[in-house]
Amino acid sequence: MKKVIQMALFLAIVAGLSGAALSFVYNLTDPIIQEAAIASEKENLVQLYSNGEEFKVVETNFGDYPTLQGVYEVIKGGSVKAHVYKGSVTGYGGASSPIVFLVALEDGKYSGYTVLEASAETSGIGTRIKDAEFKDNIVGTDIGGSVDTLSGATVSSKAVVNSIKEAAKHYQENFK
Amino acid sequence: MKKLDIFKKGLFVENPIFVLLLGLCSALAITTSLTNAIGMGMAVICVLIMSNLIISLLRKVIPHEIRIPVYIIIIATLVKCVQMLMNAYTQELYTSLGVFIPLIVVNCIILGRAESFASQNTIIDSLLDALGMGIGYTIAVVVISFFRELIGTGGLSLFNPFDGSQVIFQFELFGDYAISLLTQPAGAFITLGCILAFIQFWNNRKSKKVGGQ
Repeated sequence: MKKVIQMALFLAIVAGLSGAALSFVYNLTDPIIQEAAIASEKENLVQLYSNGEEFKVVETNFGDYPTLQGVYEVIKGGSVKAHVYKGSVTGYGGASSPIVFLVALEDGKYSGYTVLEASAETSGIGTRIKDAEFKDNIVGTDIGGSVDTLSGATVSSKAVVNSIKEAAKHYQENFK
Repeated sequence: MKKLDIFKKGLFVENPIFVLLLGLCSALAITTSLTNAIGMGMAVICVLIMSNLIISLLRKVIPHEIRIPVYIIIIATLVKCVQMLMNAYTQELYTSLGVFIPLIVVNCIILGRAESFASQNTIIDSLLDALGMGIGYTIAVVVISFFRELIGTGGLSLFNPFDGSQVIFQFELFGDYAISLLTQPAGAFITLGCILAFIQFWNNRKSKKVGGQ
């Protein structure tokens, strides 16, 4: 019996030490990892927010939101000002070359929208999702409200609209 | 001389991949490019040295009955540390090695060396053993990835594993005739099988020569 307790104690001490070592390395590396994670996205995010805001990656599970790829907090003056979602959807160009876009949600409204990648969409048709006409459909409207698709570019615009709906749902469930 | 032998046996005579056939899972999976192989080799050398060192230090303290769980905790901790450090400082290598870094935990080479060598030998010997085995592993994955990348993509490229933008060399020889099967998992088995067969052939010939004289 004494031996068993001794061994259990030994194992517990080893596990405790390993936990201490891990938390030390975690504290050392976590800021760098966070910064690297946002660095690749920062040049895209400044397209929406360019007045010296800070960005932070939000760790979340997108299991129920297949078209969402990431969500970023926009921090101004120490408090969270808005959330930006990155979506990747299949447009007219097929699944191998998706449409990638960012949409910003702020104070109950969509406050920004920009397309990062739509090179496989038909020029002049599918690429209209980049134009002001479609952007004006989105920006300024209430979160969760319906967004019109573009007639003539239904495949591309509907994919984006559906993904924005997912972002709105995720936003309302997690950040409201 | 004996110390040198401990170091040397890991390189060829007891090469973990080609002779002991340990740690094949990671070795087959990451050998799609030379850069990956070298990066993985370095990670394994790091973990192997540290685990052998710690286990050899503690070999008199660890109760015999629970030595395996203790080894696993130590190795898992080291691997997790290496993983976090790689994620922080060598982002590109980290993304290309992906899931195979955590898999170092179950890499039999490390547990095998801990159990069969470090737990019975002094610190210096264990260190030499880890170095030899680690370098042996690296040589093996570099050889496999050399053939896989050359035949599979028709060219060779080597980037600095710690900074993907630094190209050491990159050329293409016969891109139109590349056999892309070799970059697939099945190609890893075929490549390894051919190399093992060659080593066997070589050994047989050598022993026949010795026998004939």
